[in-house]
Amino acid sequence: MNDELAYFNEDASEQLQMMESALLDAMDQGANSEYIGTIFRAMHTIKGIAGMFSFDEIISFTHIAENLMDAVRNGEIELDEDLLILLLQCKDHVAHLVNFAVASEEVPSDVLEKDAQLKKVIGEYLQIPQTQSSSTSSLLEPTQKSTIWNIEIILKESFFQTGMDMLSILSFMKKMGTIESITPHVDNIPALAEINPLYAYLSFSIVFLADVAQSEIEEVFEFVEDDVELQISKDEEEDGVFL
Amino acid sequence: MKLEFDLLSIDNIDALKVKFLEYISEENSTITLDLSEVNKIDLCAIQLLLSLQKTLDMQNRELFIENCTQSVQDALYLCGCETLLGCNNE
Repeated sequence: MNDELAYFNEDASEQLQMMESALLDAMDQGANSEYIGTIFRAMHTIKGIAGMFSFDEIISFTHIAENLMDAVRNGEIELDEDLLILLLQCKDHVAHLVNFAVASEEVPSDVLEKDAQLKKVIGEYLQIPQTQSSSTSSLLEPTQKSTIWNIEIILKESFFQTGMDMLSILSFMKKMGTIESITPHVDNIPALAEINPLYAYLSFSIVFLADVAQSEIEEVFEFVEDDVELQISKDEEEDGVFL
Repeated sequence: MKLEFDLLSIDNIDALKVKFLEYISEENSTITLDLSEVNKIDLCAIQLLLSLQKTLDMQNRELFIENCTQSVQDALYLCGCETLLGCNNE
Protein backbone atom coordinates (compact mmCIF):
# COMPACT_ATOMS: atom_id res chain seq x y z
CA MET A 1 0.00 0.00 0.00
CA ASN A 2 1.44 3.38 -0.93
CA ASP A 3 1.54 6.30 1.54
CA GLU A 4 -1.52 8.03 0.11
CA LEU A 5 -3.62 4.87 0.26
CA ALA A 6 -2.44 4.19 3.81
CA TYR A 7 -3.45 7.73 4.72
CA PHE A 8 -6.86 7.22 3.10
CA ASN A 9 -7.36 3.99 5.04
CA GLU A 10 -6.36 5.59 8.32
CA ASP A 11 -8.50 8.69 7.76
CA ALA A 12 -11.58 6.68 6.70
CA SER A 13 -11.21 4.22 9.61
CA GLU A 14 -10.89 7.08 12.08
CA GLN A 15 -14.04 8.76 10.70
CA LEU A 16 -15.98 5.48 10.87
CA GLN A 17 -14.83 4.94 14.45
CA MET A 18 -16.08 8.41 15.42
CA MET A 19 -19.34 7.75 13.58
CA GLU A 20 -19.84 4.50 15.48
CA SER A 21 -19.19 6.17 18.85
CA ALA A 22 -21.67 8.94 18.01
CA LEU A 23 -24.30 6.39 16.93
CA LEU A 24 -23.88 4.31 20.09
CA ASP A 25 -23.94 7.39 22.33
CA ALA A 26 -27.07 8.62 20.55
CA MET A 27 -28.73 5.24 21.20
CA ASP A 28 -27.86 5.46 24.92
CA GLN A 29 -28.47 9.11 25.56
CA GLY A 30 -30.65 10.32 22.71
CA ALA A 31 -29.62 12.25 19.65
CA ASN A 32 -28.16 15.73 19.87
CA SER A 33 -26.63 18.13 17.36
CA GLU A 34 -23.07 17.10 18.27
CA TYR A 35 -23.69 13.42 17.44
CA ILE A 36 -25.58 14.37 14.28
CA GLY A 37 -22.70 16.62 13.22
CA THR A 38 -20.14 13.86 13.81
CA ILE A 39 -22.12 11.35 11.71
CA PHE A 40 -22.62 13.89 8.92
CA ARG A 41 -18.92 14.82 8.88
CA ALA A 42 -17.85 11.17 8.75
CA MET A 43 -19.84 10.58 5.55
CA HIS A 44 -18.85 13.95 4.10
CA THR A 45 -15.14 13.50 4.80
CA ILE A 46 -15.00 9.94 3.49
CA LYS A 47 -16.79 11.07 0.32
CA GLY A 48 -14.18 13.78 -0.13
CA ILE A 49 -11.13 11.60 0.35
CA ALA A 50 -12.62 8.74 -1.74
CA GLY A 51 -12.97 11.29 -4.52
CA MET A 52 -9.21 11.71 -4.62
CA PHE A 53 -8.85 8.07 -5.55
CA SER A 54 -11.94 7.81 -7.77
CA PHE A 55 -13.41 5.14 -5.49
CA ASP A 56 -16.79 5.46 -7.17
CA GLU A 57 -18.77 3.02 -5.01
CA ILE A 58 -17.67 4.80 -1.84
CA ILE A 59 -18.35 8.24 -3.33
CA SER A 60 -21.81 7.23 -4.52
CA PHE A 61 -22.84 5.64 -1.21
CA THR A 62 -21.46 8.30 1.13
CA HIS A 63 -23.01 11.01 -1.05
CA ILE A 64 -26.48 9.59 -0.41
CA ALA A 65 -25.77 8.96 3.29
CA GLU A 66 -24.51 12.53 3.56
CA ASN A 67 -27.77 13.82 2.02
CA LEU A 68 -29.70 11.81 4.58
CA MET A 69 -27.64 13.27 7.44
CA ASP A 70 -28.05 16.75 5.98
CA ALA A 71 -31.84 16.31 6.21
CA VAL A 72 -31.45 15.10 9.81
CA ARG A 73 -29.23 18.07 10.59
CA ASN A 74 -31.85 20.44 9.17
CA GLY A 75 -34.53 18.88 11.33
CA GLU A 76 -36.39 17.42 8.35
CA ILE A 77 -35.92 13.82 9.43
CA GLU A 78 -35.89 12.65 13.04
CA LEU A 79 -32.92 10.60 14.20
CA ASP A 80 -34.96 7.84 15.86
CA GLU A 81 -33.90 4.34 16.79
CA ASP A 82 -34.79 2.89 13.38
CA LEU A 83 -32.61 5.45 11.66
CA LEU A 84 -29.75 4.87 14.12
CA ILE A 85 -29.84 1.18 13.26
CA LEU A 86 -29.87 1.98 9.54
CA LEU A 87 -26.88 4.30 10.02
CA LEU A 88 -24.95 1.60 11.88
CA GLN A 89 -25.53 -0.65 8.87
CA CYS A 90 -24.34 2.18 6.61
CA LYS A 91 -21.21 2.55 8.72
CA ASP A 92 -20.44 -1.19 8.48
CA HIS A 93 -21.15 -1.11 4.75
CA VAL A 94 -18.78 1.81 4.14
CA ALA A 95 -16.11 -0.03 6.18
CA HIS A 96 -16.49 -2.98 3.78
CA LEU A 97 -16.27 -0.74 0.74
CA VAL A 98 -13.12 0.89 2.15
CA ASN A 99 -11.52 -2.52 2.72
CA PHE A 100 -12.16 -3.61 -0.87
CA ALA A 101 -10.94 -0.28 -2.23
CA VAL A 102 -7.73 -0.36 -0.21
CA ALA A 103 -7.06 -3.97 -1.26
CA SER A 104 -7.75 -3.03 -4.92
CA GLU A 105 -10.35 -5.79 -5.01
CA GLU A 106 -13.63 -5.72 -6.88
CA VAL A 107 -16.68 -5.30 -4.67
CA PRO A 108 -18.38 -8.72 -4.51
CA SER A 109 -22.00 -9.12 -5.58
CA ASP A 110 -23.45 -9.62 -2.07
CA VAL A 111 -21.91 -6.31 -0.95
CA LEU A 112 -23.28 -4.60 -4.08
CA GLU A 113 -26.73 -6.01 -3.22
CA LYS A 114 -26.43 -4.58 0.28
CA ASP A 115 -25.38 -1.28 -1.31
CA ALA A 116 -28.53 -1.17 -3.44
CA GLN A 117 -30.73 -2.19 -0.54
CA LEU A 118 -29.37 0.48 1.81
CA LYS A 119 -29.61 3.14 -0.90
CA LYS A 120 -33.24 2.18 -1.48
CA VAL A 121 -34.10 2.57 2.22
CA ILE A 122 -32.26 5.89 2.42
CA GLY A 123 -34.10 7.00 -0.72
CA GLU A 124 -37.40 6.25 1.03
CA TYR A 125 -36.37 8.42 3.99
CA LEU A 126 -35.44 11.23 1.64
CA GLN A 127 -38.84 11.06 -0.08
CA ILE A 128 -40.65 11.93 3.16
CA PRO A 129 -39.60 15.56 3.50
CA GLN A 130 -40.04 16.10 -0.22
CA THR A 131 -43.80 15.84 0.23
CA GLN A 132 -43.74 18.05 3.31
CA SER A 133 -41.57 20.92 2.20
CA SER A 134 -40.68 22.24 -1.19
CA SER A 135 -37.38 23.59 0.16
CA THR A 136 -35.99 20.09 0.40
CA SER A 137 -36.91 18.96 -3.10
CA SER A 138 -33.30 19.24 -4.18
CA LEU A 139 -31.89 16.78 -1.65
CA LEU A 140 -30.60 14.52 -4.36
CA GLU A 141 -30.07 17.24 -6.94
CA PRO A 142 -27.06 19.49 -7.28
CA THR A 143 -27.69 22.91 -5.89
CA GLN A 144 -28.49 25.72 -8.29
CA LYS A 145 -26.69 28.51 -6.49
CA SER A 146 -22.98 28.63 -7.10
CA THR A 147 -20.05 30.73 -6.08
CA ILE A 148 -17.46 31.61 -8.71
CA TRP A 149 -14.01 30.50 -7.56
CA ASN A 150 -10.75 31.37 -9.29
CA ILE A 151 -8.20 28.67 -8.59
CA GLU A 152 -4.52 28.74 -9.49
CA ILE A 153 -2.69 25.44 -9.15
CA ILE A 154 1.06 25.26 -9.66
CA LEU A 155 2.34 21.69 -9.60
CA LYS A 156 5.67 21.38 -7.83
CA GLU A 157 8.33 19.21 -9.47
CA SER A 158 7.55 16.43 -6.98
CA PHE A 159 3.86 16.27 -7.86
CA PHE A 160 3.85 13.15 -10.06
CA GLN A 161 5.72 11.20 -7.42
CA THR A 162 2.80 11.54 -5.00
CA GLY A 163 1.06 8.77 -6.94
CA MET A 164 -1.98 11.03 -7.33
CA ASP A 165 -3.13 11.88 -10.83
CA MET A 166 -4.28 15.46 -11.31
CA LEU A 167 -6.94 14.09 -13.66
CA SER A 168 -8.59 12.28 -10.72
CA ILE A 169 -8.58 15.51 -8.75
CA LEU A 170 -10.19 17.36 -11.67
CA SER A 171 -12.78 14.57 -12.07
CA PHE A 172 -13.67 14.93 -8.44
CA MET A 173 -14.01 18.71 -8.79
CA LYS A 174 -16.47 18.08 -11.63
CA LYS A 175 -18.60 16.12 -9.18
CA MET A 176 -18.54 19.04 -6.70
CA GLY A 177 -19.42 21.73 -9.22
CA THR A 178 -18.74 22.93 -12.74
CA ILE A 179 -15.30 23.57 -14.19
CA GLU A 180 -16.31 26.59 -16.24
CA SER A 181 -12.85 26.89 -17.77
CA ILE A 182 -9.42 25.39 -17.31
CA THR A 183 -6.30 26.90 -18.82
CA PRO A 184 -3.07 24.91 -18.70
CA HIS A 185 0.17 26.94 -18.55
CA VAL A 186 2.82 25.09 -20.50
CA ASP A 187 5.64 27.65 -20.79
CA ASN A 188 7.78 25.97 -18.15
CA ILE A 189 7.74 22.56 -19.83
CA PRO A 190 11.27 21.90 -21.17
CA ALA A 191 11.99 20.51 -24.60
CA LEU A 192 12.24 16.75 -24.95
CA ALA A 193 16.03 16.57 -24.64
CA GLU A 194 16.00 18.47 -21.35
CA ILE A 195 12.81 17.30 -19.67
CA ASN A 196 12.88 15.02 -16.65
CA PRO A 197 9.55 13.33 -17.38
CA LEU A 198 9.08 12.43 -13.72
CA TYR A 199 8.99 16.11 -12.77
CA ALA A 200 5.88 18.26 -13.10
CA TYR A 201 6.21 21.63 -14.85
CA LEU A 202 2.54 22.43 -15.45
CA SER A 203 0.21 24.90 -13.80
CA PHE A 204 -3.49 25.57 -14.28
CA SER A 205 -5.95 28.45 -13.95
CA ILE A 206 -9.44 27.23 -13.25
CA VAL A 207 -12.77 29.03 -13.02
CA PHE A 208 -14.89 26.80 -10.83
CA LEU A 209 -18.59 27.21 -10.10
CA ALA A 210 -19.72 25.44 -6.96
CA ASP A 211 -21.79 25.99 -3.88
CA VAL A 212 -18.96 25.03 -1.56
CA ALA A 213 -16.78 26.71 1.05
CA GLN A 214 -13.13 27.49 0.29
CA SER A 215 -12.15 24.87 2.86
CA GLU A 216 -13.97 22.19 0.83
CA ILE A 217 -11.91 23.05 -2.25
CA GLU A 218 -8.75 22.98 -0.13
CA GLU A 219 -9.74 19.53 1.14
CA VAL A 220 -9.65 18.25 -2.44
CA PHE A 221 -5.92 18.98 -2.46
CA GLU A 222 -5.29 17.68 1.06
CA PHE A 223 -3.36 14.65 -0.16
CA VAL A 224 -1.03 16.70 -2.32
CA GLU A 225 -0.81 19.88 -0.25
CA ASP A 226 3.00 19.70 -0.05
CA ASP A 227 3.27 19.16 -3.79
CA VAL A 228 1.18 22.04 -5.15
CA GLU A 229 0.99 25.78 -4.71
CA LEU A 230 -2.67 26.61 -4.45
CA GLN A 231 -4.37 29.99 -4.62
CA ILE A 232 -8.12 30.15 -4.27
CA SER A 233 -10.11 33.36 -4.47
CA LYS A 234 -13.76 34.15 -4.70
CA ASP A 235 -14.76 36.10 -7.77
CA GLU A 236 -15.32 39.73 -6.81
CA GLU A 237 -18.70 39.74 -8.51
CA GLU A 238 -21.66 38.88 -6.33
CA ASP A 239 -22.37 35.17 -6.07
CA GLY A 240 -24.07 34.18 -9.25
CA VAL A 241 -27.13 32.06 -9.76
CA PHE A 242 -26.64 29.59 -12.56
CA LEU A 243 -29.58 27.74 -13.95
CA MET B 1 3.43 6.24 -36.00
CA LYS B 2 1.22 4.05 -33.92
CA LEU B 3 1.98 4.19 -30.21
CA GLU B 4 1.63 0.59 -29.15
CA PHE B 5 0.90 1.20 -25.51
CA ASP B 6 -2.40 0.48 -23.79
CA LEU B 7 -1.47 2.90 -21.03
CA LEU B 8 0.57 6.10 -21.20
CA SER B 9 1.50 7.03 -17.66
CA ILE B 10 4.24 7.73 -15.18
CA ASP B 11 4.81 3.95 -15.08
CA ASN B 12 6.18 3.87 -18.63
CA ILE B 13 7.11 7.51 -19.06
CA ASP B 14 10.84 6.85 -19.52
CA ALA B 15 10.15 4.36 -22.33
CA LEU B 16 7.81 6.87 -23.91
CA LYS B 17 10.46 9.59 -23.81
CA VAL B 18 12.94 7.27 -25.53
CA LYS B 19 10.32 6.55 -28.21
CA PHE B 20 9.64 10.25 -28.76
CA LEU B 21 13.38 11.00 -29.03
CA GLU B 22 13.62 8.32 -31.72
CA TYR B 23 10.72 9.86 -33.62
CA ILE B 24 12.20 13.36 -33.64
CA SER B 25 15.60 12.08 -34.76
CA GLU B 26 13.98 11.27 -38.08
CA GLU B 27 14.05 14.16 -40.48
CA ASN B 28 10.34 14.42 -41.31
CA SER B 29 8.80 17.86 -41.08
CA THR B 30 5.74 16.45 -39.38
CA ILE B 31 5.24 13.69 -36.88
CA THR B 32 1.90 11.94 -36.67
CA LEU B 33 1.08 9.93 -33.59
CA ASP B 34 -1.72 7.39 -33.80
CA LEU B 35 -3.20 6.90 -30.32
CA SER B 36 -5.83 4.32 -31.28
CA GLU B 37 -4.24 1.70 -29.00
CA VAL B 38 -4.06 3.96 -25.97
CA ASN B 39 -6.89 3.39 -23.52
CA LYS B 40 -5.62 5.43 -20.60
CA ILE B 41 -3.40 8.44 -20.20
CA ASP B 42 -2.35 10.43 -17.14
CA LEU B 43 -1.17 14.01 -16.77
CA CYS B 44 2.48 12.96 -16.68
CA ALA B 45 2.15 11.52 -20.21
CA ILE B 46 0.10 14.49 -21.42
CA GLN B 47 2.93 16.73 -20.22
CA LEU B 48 5.41 14.68 -22.26
CA LEU B 49 3.22 15.09 -25.37
CA LEU B 50 3.30 18.85 -24.73
CA SER B 51 7.09 18.70 -24.47
CA LEU B 52 7.28 16.79 -27.77
CA GLN B 53 5.05 19.40 -29.36
CA LYS B 54 7.19 22.24 -28.02
CA THR B 55 10.36 20.56 -29.29
CA LEU B 56 8.95 20.16 -32.80
CA ASP B 57 7.60 23.69 -32.74
CA MET B 58 11.08 25.06 -31.96
CA GLN B 59 12.34 23.18 -35.03
CA ASN B 60 9.49 24.52 -37.20
CA ARG B 61 8.05 21.05 -37.39
CA GLU B 62 4.55 19.93 -36.52
CA LEU B 63 2.93 17.31 -34.34
CA PHE B 64 -0.34 15.67 -35.41
CA ILE B 65 -2.24 13.43 -33.05
CA GLU B 66 -4.89 11.16 -34.48
CA ASN B 67 -7.37 8.43 -33.61
CA CYS B 68 -7.66 9.20 -29.91
CA THR B 69 -9.85 6.83 -27.93
CA GLN B 70 -12.72 8.35 -25.96
CA SER B 71 -10.78 7.94 -22.74
CA VAL B 72 -7.82 9.92 -24.09
CA GLN B 73 -10.12 12.62 -25.49
CA ASP B 74 -11.84 12.89 -22.10
CA ALA B 75 -8.49 13.18 -20.32
CA LEU B 76 -7.27 15.92 -22.69
CA TYR B 77 -10.53 17.79 -22.28
CA LEU B 78 -10.47 17.48 -18.48
CA CYS B 79 -7.10 19.22 -18.16
CA GLY B 80 -7.85 21.81 -20.86
CA CYS B 81 -5.29 20.41 -23.33
CA GLU B 82 -7.77 19.38 -26.04
CA THR B 83 -7.03 22.52 -28.09
CA LEU B 84 -3.25 22.45 -27.59
CA LEU B 85 -3.03 18.79 -28.52
CA GLY B 86 -5.92 18.71 -31.00
CA CYS B 87 -6.80 15.18 -31.95
CA ASN B 88 -7.93 14.29 -35.46
CA ASN B 89 -10.24 11.32 -35.51
CA GLU B 90 -10.98 9.74 -38.83
